[in-house]
Amino acid sequence: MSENIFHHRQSFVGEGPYSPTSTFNKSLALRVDGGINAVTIAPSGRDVVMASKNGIYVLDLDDSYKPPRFLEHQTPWQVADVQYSPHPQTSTWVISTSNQKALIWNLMRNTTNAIEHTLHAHNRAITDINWHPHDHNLLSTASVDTRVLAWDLRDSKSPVYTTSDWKEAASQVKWNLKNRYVLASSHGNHVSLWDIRKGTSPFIQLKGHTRGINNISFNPNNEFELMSSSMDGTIKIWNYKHNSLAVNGNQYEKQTVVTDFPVWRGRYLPFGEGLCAVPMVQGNNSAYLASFNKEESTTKLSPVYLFKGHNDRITDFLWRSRHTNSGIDDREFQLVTWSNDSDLRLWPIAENVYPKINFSRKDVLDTPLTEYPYKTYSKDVKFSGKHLKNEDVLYKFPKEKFTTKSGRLVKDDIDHLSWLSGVRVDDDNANTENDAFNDLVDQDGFSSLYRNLGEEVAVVGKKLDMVSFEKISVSTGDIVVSLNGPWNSVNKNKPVFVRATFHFDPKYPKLGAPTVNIEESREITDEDRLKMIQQLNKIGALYAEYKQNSLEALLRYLLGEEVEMNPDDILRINPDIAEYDIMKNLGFDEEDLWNTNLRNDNDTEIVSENSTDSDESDDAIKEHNFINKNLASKSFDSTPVPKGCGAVFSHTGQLVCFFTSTNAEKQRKVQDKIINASAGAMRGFGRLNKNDQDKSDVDSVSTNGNNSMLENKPKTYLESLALKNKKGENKIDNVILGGKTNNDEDEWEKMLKNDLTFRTKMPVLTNPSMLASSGVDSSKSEKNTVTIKDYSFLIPDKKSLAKKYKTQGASLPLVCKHNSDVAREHQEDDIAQCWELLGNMLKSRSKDISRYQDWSYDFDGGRCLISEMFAYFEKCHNLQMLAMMACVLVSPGRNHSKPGDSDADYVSGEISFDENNIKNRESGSSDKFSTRESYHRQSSTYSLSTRSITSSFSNNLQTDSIPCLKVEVLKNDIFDNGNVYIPKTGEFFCKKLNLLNPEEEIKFIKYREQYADMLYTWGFQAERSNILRFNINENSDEKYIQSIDEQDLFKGLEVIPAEEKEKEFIVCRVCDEPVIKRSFVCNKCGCIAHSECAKTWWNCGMEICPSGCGCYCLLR
Amino acid sequence: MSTAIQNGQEFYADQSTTKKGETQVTITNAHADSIHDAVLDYYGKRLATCSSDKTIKVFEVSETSEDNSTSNSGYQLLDTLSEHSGPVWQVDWAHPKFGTCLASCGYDGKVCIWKENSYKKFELISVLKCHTASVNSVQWAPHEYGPLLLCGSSDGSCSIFEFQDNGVVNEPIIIDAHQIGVNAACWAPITFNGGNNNEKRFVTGGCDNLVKIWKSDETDPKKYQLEHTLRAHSDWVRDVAWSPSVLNKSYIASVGQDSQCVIWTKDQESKDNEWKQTVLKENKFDDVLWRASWSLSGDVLALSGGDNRITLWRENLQGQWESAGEVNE
Repeated sequence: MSENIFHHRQSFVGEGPYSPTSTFNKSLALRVDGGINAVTIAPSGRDVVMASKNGIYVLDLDDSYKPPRFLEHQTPWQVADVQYSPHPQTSTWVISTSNQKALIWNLMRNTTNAIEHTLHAHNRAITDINWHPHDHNLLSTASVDTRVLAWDLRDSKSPVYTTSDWKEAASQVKWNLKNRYVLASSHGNHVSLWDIRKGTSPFIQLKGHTRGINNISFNPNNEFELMSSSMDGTIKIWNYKHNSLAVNGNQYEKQTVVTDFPVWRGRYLPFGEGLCAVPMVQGNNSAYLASFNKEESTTKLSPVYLFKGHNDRITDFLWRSRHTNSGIDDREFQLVTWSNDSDLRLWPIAENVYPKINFSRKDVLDTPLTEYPYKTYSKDVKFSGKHLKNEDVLYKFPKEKFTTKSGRLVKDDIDHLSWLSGVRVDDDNANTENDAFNDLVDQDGFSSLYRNLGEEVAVVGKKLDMVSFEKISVSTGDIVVSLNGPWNSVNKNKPVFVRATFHFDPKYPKLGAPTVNIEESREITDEDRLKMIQQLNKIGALYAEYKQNSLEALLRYLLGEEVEMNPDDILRINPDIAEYDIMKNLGFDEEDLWNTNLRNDNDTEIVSENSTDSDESDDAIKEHNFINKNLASKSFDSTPVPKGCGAVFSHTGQLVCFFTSTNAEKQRKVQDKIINASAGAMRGFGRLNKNDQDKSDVDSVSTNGNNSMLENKPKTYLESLALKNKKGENKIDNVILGGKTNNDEDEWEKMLKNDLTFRTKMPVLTNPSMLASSGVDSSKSEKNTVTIKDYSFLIPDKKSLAKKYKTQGASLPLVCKHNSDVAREHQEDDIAQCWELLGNMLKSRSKDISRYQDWSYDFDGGRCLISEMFAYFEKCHNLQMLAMMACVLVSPGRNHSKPGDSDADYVSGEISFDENNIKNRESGSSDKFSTRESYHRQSSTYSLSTRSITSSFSNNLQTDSIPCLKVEVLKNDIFDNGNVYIPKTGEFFCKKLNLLNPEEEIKFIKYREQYADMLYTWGFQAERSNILRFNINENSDEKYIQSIDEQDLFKGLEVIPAEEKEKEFIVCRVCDEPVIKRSFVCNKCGCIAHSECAKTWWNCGMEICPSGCGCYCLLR
Repeated sequence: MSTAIQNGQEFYADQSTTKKGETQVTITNAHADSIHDAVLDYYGKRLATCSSDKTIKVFEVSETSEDNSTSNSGYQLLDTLSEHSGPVWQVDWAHPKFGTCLASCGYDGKVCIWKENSYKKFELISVLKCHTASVNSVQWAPHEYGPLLLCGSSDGSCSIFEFQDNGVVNEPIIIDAHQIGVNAACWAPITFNGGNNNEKRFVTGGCDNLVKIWKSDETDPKKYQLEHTLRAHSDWVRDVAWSPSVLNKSYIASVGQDSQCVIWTKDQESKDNEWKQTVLKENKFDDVLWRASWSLSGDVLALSGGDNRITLWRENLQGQWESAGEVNE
């Protein structure tokens, strides 16, 4: 048995917890976008956690086709490090950094609440973290603030051990793997060793590097040995036990390994004897596996194995291991690397590598290896109850889902198809150092389009985007799709919702046809359904015969398309699809965006039609499709160039501006560069068949220069898109060209290569928040700004004035005086003078009123002045003044032609919609709006009123739900605007004071209405209704007054009185405060009091109920 | 920067007291691509922006009061709305009496209606499709007309959607407005008609270089007839804006690809049913003009265009248009 294990790695497969589809023996590449900076692997070797500024992603390596779990934690700081706890007790714990804080996640907890601890004691960014190798409660952190802290998680508020180098930032911290009290940290060029029992000065300092140290690593087998890797291109091995080993003048230095690159990470291997190093720059972006040369004190790095394949530098590497439970050290390893090229790669270690680093895999273990549960936490964990705290429940809103009816993937999930296309697996391992991702032809000589099912689903899914993949499980080979196909038994033209299940054999497509099943449905008769299944099986079998991928054919059949059943044709399809793949990868799909959109539209339309029949319409979106089917879509897309800049006035006088901040100067410079660069690139370059048109375009740009920019500007969206694409391309070319000269042809090839990788459609995690951030990160995004500027000073209508203006008062001149003062207060001198003028004019008149009577009102040109003023303010667009004048100069209320009507009982009740509210209030308070008393103003009214509106709406738009504003109108005689008491007759002289031309009343009504709207925007409800009140006045047309009820002129927002606003709390009978917590309730009278209050009350010797009801609560 | 905004926790605003023309709020790189529209709602409490990155973002302005000058005005991201499958061109807030509703239109030919729920998140309540090409403009009618939505599309037609109380959308009224495409459409303010609510008007600008004014039929409110055709532009008309308040005159501003802005005026009192044209600036602008926007009282006009500049214009007492400033980034 054990013999087998040693010589046949396959014996692992399917054994123990490891699933048969494990990626262990495979090389794997995962393209993960989103600015990931650090990775860590679970000790069980199943999950990988990747950390970025947006949060952490948990990925199951055994089912890499499944999109990762995402735990959001947005920070503006790059994550320095992330580490899985190495202890079985806390095997789901992951620590990550966020600037000066360290976060400890528990993946067993729910995604929204996964942070177990936050460690915050550093003053500046944390650079490294390290779990204690023996004690699961301990860990240490190092920071730029030069300090190194050790933490005990049993009390995570403050560190248990603090030390500092004082001078240089700590870059790394590591616990000794053998001695639980020893801690090493690197500061600048030296390493300090600390014993946490012995205070805060290092017991040894290891000096010898000439430049900064990037990494330190303790020897897992020797307590006194550690390794440091530095920018100076060396890896030094130190032994601090024996002072006798004096090498290079340094007493502790044991060995120096010289490399030809600055070393980013150099670590002891967890198996055998050797090290693995990755360069910071250069070094082919590879990872180097080397053994130790024990003899010499200075050696050159002599790798025994090279992991080559990344396109950018490797930022971190990890070891994934597995073993059986046999008591023998039969561990098997896989290297996991994360690189700046956004690839996570898994590299299997070939069997012949192990001996080279002195690892036999046969040794009997003294102590058994630690066992970790081989479980994945890449799925969100539902509430486990145990960790549930109160606040979890509080901030959990019901999540709205906007899925379309056919049950498509929820939008805010990571797009499964995109994710799939980022996963690449190679079955045959070990030889990955040569680019393993390049041949599609397998050993049998049969060319397969897709390396595996995942890739096939990804490509086909993108191609047939009218098919929704409800479930994709590449590992088990199960796929569930839903689509709309022409299978309606009654009406062939009406598409029918079809849900189909496919099961693919693990050996597909080489062996075995997929098994298909179609879900039963009302619209498809069983007969038809069986026929379809039969036909699908037939297609599957046929394709299987030729060892071809059949998913696309099967789906196309379901969609009602003709499927090639001719063997020649089946084989012929291949180049076609291959070509498609490349086109897609070049990422120019934006240009046919519209076409795809149209298709989308039709598709969704079918969906919505269908959904009325199906039973799964549980969401609130209403799709309305009114596209006339006969309407041929136009060949010319006249969509104009998008606006990149604009300014929109708000109702409140602010100007919202938005810019695309590519400053013209810069743009021109870039353009010149592009021209030069591309002109250079064009030279000596004939064999690549780039479009001639492209070239001529470049030419035309360069010849026309900038003078004719305007003429050359694109007019339509598509033109601008094309231009943008070209610019983007050129920009990339330019970047690549930068700093490199000579050998045009080689450069061009390189450029193309790089260009390809740059533009290759990478799977983007379609979380919107990530989209934006990744967009900002990448250099090609445009900068944009939105600013809100206050331009209300340009607008003559002033909010500040509106608040204080009066329309009525003791007498008209006084009103004018008041308004004049208000205007002057706000430095509106012109307006102030106008009011003053008006006031003076009115004053002079009222003095003489008894003498001059009617005919004299134009004596001082009053009317003339007024009409001049109106004309002036019309020109100035000063709506506020116009409306104010239209109010002040007219007396509200109905024009009472009969003198008898003008008695004191007359009330202009028409204005109010609630006749109950017409009351005689204290007539003395003529200066005050009675309306004001009843409710809060401004901000509070605003919030109240919006609430009342929104609550009165369901999901739909409604017209009628404007509640009435209940305006109380006082007795008519209070509104004595300019009405003069004539002592002789003892009457109010009101009717004849026509300061406004009644013929122009329509115009004045408009002014008032528009100004009222403006007040409404400002949130002045009382002022608004006050203005509108004047629409019924002495000049009002009889017709208008009659029509007023029909119009919703006075409709507005209901103002909820302040008392109602407050929630009805039960009030304590003793202290009158609302009762929230513990309370005392009397069984007899039902009165309630705080338990505290009740205690005091009864303790005072009181016997009667505090409510005063006379009940003796305590007496039986 | 933008991640922080998305974080939704942090406020980006300068500590400005609201001085003249001073920036109150700056939001940078909220979107991954260029922004095409940014609109404040009726009360100036919500800001909606839309972009080529296919999303709409809604920000909330934190409470600012003049009494309390120490409080910063800041914005907080409320929600990111993604439904459109192409760039989103324009957004418009409905009058608050219909709830906090937002209409958006985009290159995918869809018009989406969003409504804020009590969690300050926006729900998609309706997707309207009646155009076969990009919808370039969307605008709610004056609230007195009810929830009425006017859209202009590159397929050459305008559409008017009317919502019923129960949320049902009537079959839209479709008007073939401009042959090659409609770039902008704007309602007339209700006061233009002298209070006659049955007489609705709107103005459109299109790729045939024309500005057209449409009037609802007196007998059949579902029908709109061409009332005026205004010719002045020599290239595509990009935007039309009807001044929201009508004093003695009514104004329409139209801007276009020909780098011109034309102000059309109609005297309310004069009986002749004519629109007079004034070219805003004698010399053409430096670059194409994209957008025109009136202030609420119709006295300041903001123009913006291809050169990333925003200019403000005001009519003086002599009836001439003069510059009232320029907005810098």
